Amino acid sequence: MEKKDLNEIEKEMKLANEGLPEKERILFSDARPSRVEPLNKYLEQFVNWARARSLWLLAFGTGCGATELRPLMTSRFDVSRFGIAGRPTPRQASVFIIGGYASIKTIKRIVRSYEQMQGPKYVIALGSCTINGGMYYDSYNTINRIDYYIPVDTYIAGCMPRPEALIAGFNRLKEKIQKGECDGMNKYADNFDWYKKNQKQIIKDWNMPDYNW
Amino acid sequence: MKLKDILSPFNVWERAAKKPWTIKDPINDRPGAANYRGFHKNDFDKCIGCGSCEEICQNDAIDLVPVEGQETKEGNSGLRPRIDYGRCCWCGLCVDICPTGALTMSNDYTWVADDPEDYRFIPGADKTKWQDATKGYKRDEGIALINYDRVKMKEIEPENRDKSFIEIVKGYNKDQAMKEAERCLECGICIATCPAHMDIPAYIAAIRDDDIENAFRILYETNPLPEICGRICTHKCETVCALHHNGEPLAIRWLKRYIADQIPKDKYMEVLGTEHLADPILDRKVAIIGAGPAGISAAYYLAIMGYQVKIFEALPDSGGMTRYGIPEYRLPYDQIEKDYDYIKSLGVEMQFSTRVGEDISLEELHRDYDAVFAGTGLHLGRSTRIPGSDNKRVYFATDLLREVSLGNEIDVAEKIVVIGGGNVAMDITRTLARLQNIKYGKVDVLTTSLETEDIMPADREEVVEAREEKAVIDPGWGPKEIEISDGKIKGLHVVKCLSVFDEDGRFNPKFDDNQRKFFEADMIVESIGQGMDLSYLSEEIKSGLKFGPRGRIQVNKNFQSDLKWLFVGGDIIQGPDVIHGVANGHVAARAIDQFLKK
Amino acid sequence: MKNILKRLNEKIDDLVVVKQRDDLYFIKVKREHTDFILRYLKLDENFKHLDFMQAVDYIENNQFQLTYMLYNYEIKINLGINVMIDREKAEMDSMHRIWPHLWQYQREIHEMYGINFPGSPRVDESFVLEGWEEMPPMRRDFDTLEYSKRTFYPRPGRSTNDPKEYMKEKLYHDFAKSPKIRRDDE
Repeated sequence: MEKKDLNEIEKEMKLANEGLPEKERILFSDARPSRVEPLNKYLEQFVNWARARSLWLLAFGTGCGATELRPLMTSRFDVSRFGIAGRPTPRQASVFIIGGYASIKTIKRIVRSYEQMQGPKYVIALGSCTINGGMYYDSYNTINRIDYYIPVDTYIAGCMPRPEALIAGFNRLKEKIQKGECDGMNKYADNFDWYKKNQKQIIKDWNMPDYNW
Repeated sequence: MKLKDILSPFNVWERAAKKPWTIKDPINDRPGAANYRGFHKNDFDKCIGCGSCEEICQNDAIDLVPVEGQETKEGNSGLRPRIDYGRCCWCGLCVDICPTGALTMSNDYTWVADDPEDYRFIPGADKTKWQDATKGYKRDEGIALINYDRVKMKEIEPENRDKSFIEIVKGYNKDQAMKEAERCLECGICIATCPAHMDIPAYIAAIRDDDIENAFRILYETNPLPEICGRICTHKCETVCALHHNGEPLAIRWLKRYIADQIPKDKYMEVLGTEHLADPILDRKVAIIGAGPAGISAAYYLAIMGYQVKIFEALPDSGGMTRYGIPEYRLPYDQIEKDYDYIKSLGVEMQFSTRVGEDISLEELHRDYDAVFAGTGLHLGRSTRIPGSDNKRVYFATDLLREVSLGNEIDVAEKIVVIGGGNVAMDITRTLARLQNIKYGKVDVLTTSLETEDIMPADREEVVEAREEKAVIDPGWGPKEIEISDGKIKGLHVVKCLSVFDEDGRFNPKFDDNQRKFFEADMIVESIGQGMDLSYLSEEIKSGLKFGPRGRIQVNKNFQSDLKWLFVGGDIIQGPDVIHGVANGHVAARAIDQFLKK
Repeated sequence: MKNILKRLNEKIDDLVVVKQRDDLYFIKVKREHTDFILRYLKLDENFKHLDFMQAVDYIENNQFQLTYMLYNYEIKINLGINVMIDREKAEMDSMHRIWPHLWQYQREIHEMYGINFPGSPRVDESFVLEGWEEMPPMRRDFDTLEYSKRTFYPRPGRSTNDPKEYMKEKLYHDFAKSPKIRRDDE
């Protein structure tokens, strides 16, 4: 009797991957995301210090804010001196910058990229559009608030924020990481079903696995 | 391989000593430009909470919310804009439209927060690091979105009007009215200030839509005297107009006049939907004393509720002070009749030349009618009581204006001095100037008042127009003595008036006896205020009433006196002006309806 | 350009021409003539380039207007071909055989306006809107604000006041407008 219950719970905990065709389901994992637990106290402090000093961005321009990332990389602002560098693949990146408005088509790719990133991972959201829709608040195709779909650690106001403001945002993120307060990804793991429900409500053609890739 | 190919990469070494392009401290080294559109600031002393910023915002980013410490009062809604930086795109339209110039932008552009809810803030109320920034975007004069200049009203030139009583102001035509109506921001700040709370933005919007009949119906919802008010209203609404802060206020009065002028007299009933009202349908009767604005306003609203209304008027024609206190060049008599005839056609009876208290007593009215409304106005003059003011060639302005309206000839002297600085003083000055011009072919009227020119209670345009008609206005003098020899007036001695009110705002004029002046005159007119004539109240009735300061009858907020059947309103309670009378009459009519239903 | 229009006028009756600028003309043609005119302009009059194709929703007339924007490199003139089609039965012949890249425009217009192009390649595939279930969003009777509010979780905490109503509430709330005009039958 007890054993059966446990089986059922375990089954519930598994992800259904319903968006995939029956025969493809076996190709993908059905595990849920797990938390990134802090290490031993002093070790964690050292690791956080190191993490804050090497932020690797996912070079994925999701909106007009991508324009502001270019000057950051070039010699005028030269963010590589702050330990910030772009990476071409989510597997190597630790910071995801949501550059403004996200359409339904984009949010699908955002979720997909975010889930592929290795933990610990952080999200910075730029501009009005990510906070409450911005000038696209009445659009048929643009989401109003990003925090319903992926967890956000820091917001920067502007439309769009200038590179200087972006650097201020990175500083805030560093501060948070160093204090060990950046738990966006743990929030995502804890409230995974809620996020998934919101994502699926707007992404009508869900034809990808639920979490693992 | 050439030597050049080997050496050329080392060319870049020449830059090693140059200043680097990289900005050392990007957050602090690069403040926004002087006119950068950064985060918002709001100057609460200037902001009136009109909501123009909310209205123009294309992103629905602005809300108007009450703010602690900001009081709701006339000309200031007490609401302040709250901006959602989850919506704003820093286009600056809110700054461009702001009619008071309160809303501006700083040059600060860095704001990082972990909680997205933080980005909803009230500039001015919430503490921000940029609230004292001096640089930032302010409205450029060249790109104002509002037209601050009023459409000019056509008037008859001084040389064509100073010998007759023809109306000076010509009124707007359709193009002018539409153009003026387009300036309205529709904030609605003015409604609270108008004593009758007329729905000003609604009727101006109707002018803009060229739906005059609808505009006319909106006027009658709160004011049954649009022709009169469209000409001589004291337009308190214009003093709080949002446009007034940086330009000329909207010509609300002239637009009201434009609406009323467009509807011919015989179409009133059709437009207002009152054709079935010619006979009263209720058997309750109300008597009204005085056919002035307060009385007629009460009569109108009682009539459309179906009551039998009868007005008793001491003078031989309708209008009260609007006819007998205001000269014809400001308010022609046919326009008074246009308003009054419509109300008469609703079955309101008017009995003229019947003075209550003499021809018929108030007790009789109480016996024959279910309720009585008294709007008897201020028809008595007040005297300066200076030596010599009891001479027979010293007149009260109200008496002279009444005589002129009645068509009686008055003995105009060649040299006249008027004492007073209000609109009535201007009325009598300009009336006497016309009469002198007709009789002698020249003008010699001098008007003096206690108040200096900047605090004179008269409307600015009245003073300007009086001067155009060659009257002399010399304000800032206190009358001291009228010099008389052999019973004939020689002139008026005045001393310099230093201040009119004391620190507590009470009337307490201070004079400088060393600065003196003498105005020669054969005739002197006093126009320093009016008093009421309450002689129609018998002792018995008086004992049932309570009297407040300055002898005013005490009434509740519905203008009901302590004698439940007696309602009092108009100039003897509030004012003096037409629009208070209209408002009082309206409120009293509703209260009489409530009283009679009980 | 005059000669082109003259020759065009000989080909079809009642041609409506609007000259917007020296280098920008619009002509209005009937749906059944579109194929012929586009072919003629491309092959005989040298309007080789198709800039774009677009649709406008004239909901008042119950019509859609389709515009094919052509360009002639020799005389440097833009020419727009306007075709009005019925809004209820929104359908247009596919022109992808004249300019192959029209299939992409037609696919987009099909998605945004719900205009059908039978025979156009891949016209049923979604373009920007993946998994769209509502009315085509660029139709003017589609209420985008209402849809956005229903779908995209607008952030709560917003509320506003009308200064007019707020001041009435604060300063003269017991004041009422004109009493109702009493009718005989009451």
